[in-house]
Amino acid sequence: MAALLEIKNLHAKVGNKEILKGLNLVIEAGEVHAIMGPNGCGKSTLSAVITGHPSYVVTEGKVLFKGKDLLKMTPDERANAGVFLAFQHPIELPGVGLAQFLKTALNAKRKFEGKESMDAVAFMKYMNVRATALGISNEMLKRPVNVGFSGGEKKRLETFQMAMLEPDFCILDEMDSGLDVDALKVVGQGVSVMRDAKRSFMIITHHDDLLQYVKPDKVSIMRDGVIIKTAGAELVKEVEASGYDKF
Amino acid sequence: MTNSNPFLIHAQDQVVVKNPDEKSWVFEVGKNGNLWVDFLQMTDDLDVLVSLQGEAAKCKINCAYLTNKNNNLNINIKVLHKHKKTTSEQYIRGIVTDESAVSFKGIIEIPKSSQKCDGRQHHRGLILSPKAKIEATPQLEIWADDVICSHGSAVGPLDQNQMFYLQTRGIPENEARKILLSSFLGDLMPDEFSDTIQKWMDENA
Amino acid sequence: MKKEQSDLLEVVNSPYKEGFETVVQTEYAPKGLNEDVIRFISKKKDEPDWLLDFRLKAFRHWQTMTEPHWFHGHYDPIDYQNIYYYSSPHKKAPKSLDEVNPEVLKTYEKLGIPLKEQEALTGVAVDAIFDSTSIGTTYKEELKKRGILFCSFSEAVHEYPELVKEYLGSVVPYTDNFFACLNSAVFSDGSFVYVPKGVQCPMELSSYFRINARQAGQFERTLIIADEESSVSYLEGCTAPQRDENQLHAAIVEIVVKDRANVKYSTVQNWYPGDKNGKGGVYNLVTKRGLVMNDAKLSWTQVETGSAITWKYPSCILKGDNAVGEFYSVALTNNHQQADTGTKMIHLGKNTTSTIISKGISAGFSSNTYRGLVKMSPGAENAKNVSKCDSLLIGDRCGAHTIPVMQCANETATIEHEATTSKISEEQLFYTMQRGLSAEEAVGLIVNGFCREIMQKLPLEFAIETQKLIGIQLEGSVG
Repeated sequence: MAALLEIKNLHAKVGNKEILKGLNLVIEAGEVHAIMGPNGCGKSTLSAVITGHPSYVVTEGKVLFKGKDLLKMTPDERANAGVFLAFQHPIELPGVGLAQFLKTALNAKRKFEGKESMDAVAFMKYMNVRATALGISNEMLKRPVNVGFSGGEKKRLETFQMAMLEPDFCILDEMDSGLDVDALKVVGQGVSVMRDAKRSFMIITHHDDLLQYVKPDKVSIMRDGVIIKTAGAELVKEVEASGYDKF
Repeated sequence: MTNSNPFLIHAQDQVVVKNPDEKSWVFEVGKNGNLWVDFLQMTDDLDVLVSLQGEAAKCKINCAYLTNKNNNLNINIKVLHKHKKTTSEQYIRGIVTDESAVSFKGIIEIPKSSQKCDGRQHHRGLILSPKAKIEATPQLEIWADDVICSHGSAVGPLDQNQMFYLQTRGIPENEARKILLSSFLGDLMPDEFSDTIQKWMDENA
Repeated sequence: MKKEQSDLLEVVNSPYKEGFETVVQTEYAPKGLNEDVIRFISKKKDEPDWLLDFRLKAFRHWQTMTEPHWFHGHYDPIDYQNIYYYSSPHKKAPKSLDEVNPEVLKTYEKLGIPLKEQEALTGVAVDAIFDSTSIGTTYKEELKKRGILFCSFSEAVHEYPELVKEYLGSVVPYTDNFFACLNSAVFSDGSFVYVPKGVQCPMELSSYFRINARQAGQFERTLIIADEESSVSYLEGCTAPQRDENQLHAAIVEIVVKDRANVKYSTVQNWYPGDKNGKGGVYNLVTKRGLVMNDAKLSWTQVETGSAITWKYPSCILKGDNAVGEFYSVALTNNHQQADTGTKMIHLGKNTTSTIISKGISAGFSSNTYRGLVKMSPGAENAKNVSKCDSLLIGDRCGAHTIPVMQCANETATIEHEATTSKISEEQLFYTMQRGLSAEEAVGLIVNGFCREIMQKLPLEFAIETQKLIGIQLEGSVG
């Protein structure tokens, strides 16, 4: 397998505070990679830096995606290159309908890939298949993005957007925080359906809830801004049994 | 539509309308009356006085301002709750760019005898360029105790987190900006104004 | 009128507990205002020429100004020639407490502010100002060991003339406004604080102002300088005897907060508010402002319960980058009181932030106005302001007004303002009374709950006193 994502000696800060302190990580194509670590270890910063959030400044290191320098791209260029982030706290967009939003996003990607835009009819078909599979009602599609939805519904919608945009690399940032079993199943199901030999996932979490539904190929433990150990799925059990202190 | 300062009166039950000049409006709303009016201001000042003079009279004033170049606008909206049990809603949203400036003054006044009134006003302004300015003075003047009154006002740039979210979905910055700007006005303005608004957005967003 | 309503009205009418008068022989300046009176004041204080010049310049400018009448409310015209601009219980400034008139000392004991250090409040240094002069400052020597200068303004003029000369009028120039200009001409005494570089002041500093003499105005002037990386918390308290005529209080507070310094300024203002019918009471017309430099912070907390008229806008000029300004206010008006108060946050530096939380409570026939300005200058990159103003009305004869002005001239700055006006709901009152509280207690409880987030900002020593004060001030308001 070829490396899809390669992070070398990554240092990043927010304000004056350094949060990532020389992080190294390789994720192969088709791999489901869990990043586990205690609160405050920099997990969410890692996802923000990969996707290009403007508040985070990279001071050193490299992030290569499909061999290209991700750090030189704007957030939308990274998205169109195939990076998707399912937010821990999805942002509300009052007045922006979900369907309109997704159509714009999908056509931006098609344009980037040199394809023609999808017309309204084709788009509706494309969307309805995926909405039905994930239990997204017509009513939900008409509402503004993330406005007035419960925590569980928002996570379900993030999974739905991921299914719509078919990215090559999906980052799930603490998708399992505050989710009940049913919502966890939906997210797990979304990942399982999309999992294939080419698509990779990075699942950021601090406990094993979601990992009961999605079995990772690899697990990395993160502490204080660096990856300190990478191993197979058996590492999840070790963390659950004895916590992060032993690492 | 070529008028760059259109208005639309949706409802005027028990309403006396005075329009002494193009920029000034006085609405007197009688008992159980209902007023709903929309204003879109792009180049002209606006001065509106709504007097709720009969019991249970109500009004809704929607106003959007979109200014560019070196236009300088004064928008004054006053709702006077002259009678008890009257209700008012005001929604004001605006976008300023280039070197334009908007001064918005909104007053809700509830005199002593007007118990059980409900007055609300919301204002939001977006500033898109370094030399554009907004001055907002929302005022509550309350002399009666059994009332519910509130106003909110926020002035600032486009929300950077919203911009980022749209970009992570692959939408380029320019387009993301357009989406947020058109959703900013939301459904505040009627369909009749949408061509005018769209044209402004295309030229200025 | 409903039962709870009438109970509510009854609660808000209790006597002013600090309304007694101290009978002492008082020395006055000749009544009225002219250059001779100013020379008299300056001479009494044995002032250097540069200070007399400052006063005279201000006086000459003041004569060209007209009294402003823009604030909400009305009052009898002030006769500036019918006021004593200087009054003191001593011929000469007392050198120690032994020289202080014992009646004056008794006054402070009665007010709960003992000035002898062995009896003094622990952890609080006090500068006591009686009419136009300072009576004494506690813990002065102990503070001096750390390099902290805390004394009366008059003393500072003699002991630290260079500091006074450098900063006097640097934040509030004498041309600033009518009342500030008057103050600059006739100011009597006040407190002076200097905290040197890197020093954290170990105790609360406080001033206690008392107007006693008849027909006397009080024109105090306070100057606080917090040098780089220092911090200090300062509290002022004010009372006056009960009198039929109105008394004028026109003060200036100037604060300089240098890089990375931190100043907290708290006020509990309880000047005589006038009687139930609106007769008498203090006109409290005050200019307070701080200049806040890089990474520095100035926090104003005020509890305004007294005065017939309050006209006061403690402000922050956020000049340095990352400067922080805060304003937390409770203004309670009853009977015929009129309060017009708020703040100005002037954002000049980058990444400056300001927070405004204001709680206004109006009862009786009173009028209570929040007036504020938030200004984002073109250079205020990424500056942020959040304001929240809530008003509570008790009874149907009072008024509550909210007049915030927001000026934004920077496209990266944000201003957010929210305001509400409501009354104590009958359900809340009923529920509380059903649990056994009297109407008075219930209102006190609900009002204190309404102000809670502000009370928590006060230094602990004063928070409980202030809660009681609000209860007392509300007595008889319920209706």
